[in-house]
Amino acid sequence: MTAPLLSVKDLVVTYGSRKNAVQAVAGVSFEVMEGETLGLVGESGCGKSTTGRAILQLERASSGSVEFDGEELTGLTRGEMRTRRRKLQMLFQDPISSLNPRRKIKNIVAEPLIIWGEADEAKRETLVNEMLLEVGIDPALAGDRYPREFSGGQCQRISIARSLVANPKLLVCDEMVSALDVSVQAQIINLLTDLKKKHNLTLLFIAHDLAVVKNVSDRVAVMYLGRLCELGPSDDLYAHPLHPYTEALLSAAVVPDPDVQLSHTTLEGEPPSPINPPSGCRFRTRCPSAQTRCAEEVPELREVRPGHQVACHFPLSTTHVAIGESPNAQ
Amino acid sequence: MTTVTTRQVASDNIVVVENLSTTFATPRGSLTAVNNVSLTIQRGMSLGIVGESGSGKTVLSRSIIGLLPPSNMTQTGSATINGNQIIGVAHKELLKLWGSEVAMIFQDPMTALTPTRRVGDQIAESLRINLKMSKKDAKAKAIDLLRQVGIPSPERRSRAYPNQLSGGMRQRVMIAIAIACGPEFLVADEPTTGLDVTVQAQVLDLISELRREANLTMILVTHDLGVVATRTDNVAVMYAGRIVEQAPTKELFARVAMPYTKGLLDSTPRIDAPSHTRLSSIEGRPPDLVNPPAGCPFAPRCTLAQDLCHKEAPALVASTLDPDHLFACHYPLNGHAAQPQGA
Ligand SMILES: Nc1ncnc2c1ncn2[C@@H]1O[C@H](COP(=O)(O)OP(=O)(O)OP(=O)(O)O)[C@@H](O)[C@H]1O
Ligand SMILES: Nc1ncnc2c1ncn2[C@@H]1O[C@H](COP(=O)(O)OP(=O)(O)O)[C@@H](O)[C@H]1O
Ligand code: SF4
Ligand code: SF4
Ligand SMILES: [Mg+2]
Ligand SMILES: [Mg+2]
Repeated sequence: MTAPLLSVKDLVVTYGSRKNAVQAVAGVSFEVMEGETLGLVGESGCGKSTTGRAILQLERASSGSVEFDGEELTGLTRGEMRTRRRKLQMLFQDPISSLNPRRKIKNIVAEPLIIWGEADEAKRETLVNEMLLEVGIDPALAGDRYPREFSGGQCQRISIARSLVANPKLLVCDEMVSALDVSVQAQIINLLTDLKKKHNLTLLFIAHDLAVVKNVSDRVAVMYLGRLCELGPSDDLYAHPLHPYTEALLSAAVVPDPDVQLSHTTLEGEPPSPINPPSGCRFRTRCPSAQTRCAEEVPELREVRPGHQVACHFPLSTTHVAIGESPNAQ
Repeated sequence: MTTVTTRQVASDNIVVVENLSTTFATPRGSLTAVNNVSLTIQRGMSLGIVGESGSGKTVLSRSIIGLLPPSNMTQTGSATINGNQIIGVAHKELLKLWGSEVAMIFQDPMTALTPTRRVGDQIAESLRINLKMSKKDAKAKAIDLLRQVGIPSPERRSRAYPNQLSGGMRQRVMIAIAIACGPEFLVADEPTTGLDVTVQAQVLDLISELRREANLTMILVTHDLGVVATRTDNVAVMYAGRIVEQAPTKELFARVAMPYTKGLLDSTPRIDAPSHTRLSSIEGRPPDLVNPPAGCPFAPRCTLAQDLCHKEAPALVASTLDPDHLFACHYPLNGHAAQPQGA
């Protein structure tokens, strides 16, 4: 891990206007280092997909910045963005519907090469065949067939082939294994891990499944109602969560072992509407540790353990930092 | 072929399924979605049915309560609830059962609720039809039920339409409808799939609590082994329309017998495992149920398969280690072995 490939700063994305305006992303900052996988986890509607889409400029930021590979993306026109997309690809949950049903597999995978001007047809074919083999699809058998003839797992493999064929740097994966059965999900996770290493990819891995996110990520960011609660190295964050919301999420998760009784503190209620978010800390209406200060002051993300940041006035006690100790500089 | 040695425990079996098969006529040929399944459920117990998509969980659980479209379907074998035969029985007879003794919760409450009617009215309607309550009483009871399933401001919420409620709230409404008439047997088909983990925990807690209060018997269908591990007394694992392993939940997770079950467990990412733990995956896909392979249905994907596996389908048999642990495998794991027949 070296320099950040992607830096998101104070990102705000608003849907609708005036009275109905919803800040789906309400001031989010993080960096993804070259070669790392950053997981982004949180419950439905918290703004994960919107963050991913805003990075690719599929949604436009109301404010804040998205810097990728040394270049600011937020001001770019659609045409300019199109050329950057070669280095910046996105994968989605529903692989079948994200593939054009009327095109043959070989043409689907070749698409990025055509868009980005790989004119030589023979070379295109070689690249497509190599890529299909890499994702475990036999180009001789599959090339001339259509997406509907493939299962969900196979379509996800084909999507991966398409997204990698033009040699991108960053992949934004939005719930890409969420719809798959566990045996197929494991195949795709392993495939992604291997391809990441081989092609030196950087990943932003968005998912709601805590176990999947932990498995693939070097670091994990936890999101709630448009803001980040916590960000830290995967193992540390899951073993010693600092934010009460992270702890609640982890204690609601289940493990396939009846003898592992995870602490079970059920969180009451559901996230409030982002139309009218609570003042101060957005989690305070459900937080078991909330105090008066939480309603008055927005907690900013600050580092309280090496590489481990939390946005909470009263983070869960840790052996390393006494509560109230002055936070390290950001 | 597969006949389960019925264990003659002098117990109160509310559900008894014997050699049940459900076959659909499809354009490609006949598809056996449930293949010769036998099981029993004791009163008050919960049976988890796990398996991957298409393994037959939904068809089996719906077959047991008679809730399937009969047009392209044929069934053999038997299923009884409280001694009432379900298979081959007229819809009219089953209706009586559904309103009173049996209830069902589906994965997607949106398809089970009428979008154009207020949720309170939908609950009240069920009470009026099945319990012959007056309009006024039914309305009051509906609000009571909404309170019981943990819906805040139940009077106000009873006037909401389904699309005005969150997914978790809608599932609570479904549960209210399911328990409205005091059933004894509940089938919950993926009741929390698609819900967030914190809401899933709330809904599962609610179901557990209601079960305890009313001594409800339950089938919990899920693809999530974590949900099964924490929420059921017994587990049946399905593969290609068959039960391939069945045991008390703790026993199953402690001593897996069937390679497919082990494969499922090993490919499940766990939050208590270190990040980047390599998952072992099962290669390939489940068989086509229109043209199932000869022999063990898992043989084409099984790393332990031998000649016999491709020739002869293993019967579901009891283990010498625990008579309640059943498995269908010629070469079981963890020291399991088939009990001699008739023992
Ligand atoms: N009405 C029907 N007509 C024809 N085939 C059907 C019908 N209903 C189900 N099937 C087939 O029966 C098999 C079992 O389906 P079932 O819905 O029980 O699977 P499941 O285990 O519940 O899967 P999931 O996890 O996806 O819900 C599948 O191959 C399915 O395509
Ligand atoms: N196109 C849209 N128009 C209006 N609101 C939207 C749109 N997309 C998402 N939202 C809202 O923005 C919030 C965040 O949504 P999303 O980013 O999809 O969350 P997640 O991916 O975490 O589930 C939610 O409140 C959602 O309803
Ligand atoms: S800032 Fe206050 S309300 Fe927010 S998570 Fe921390 S303790 Fe809870
Ligand atoms: S019977 Fe053979 S193929 Fe089937 S699960 Fe057992 S070892 Fe594998
Ligand atoms: Mg999303
Ligand atoms: Mg189903």
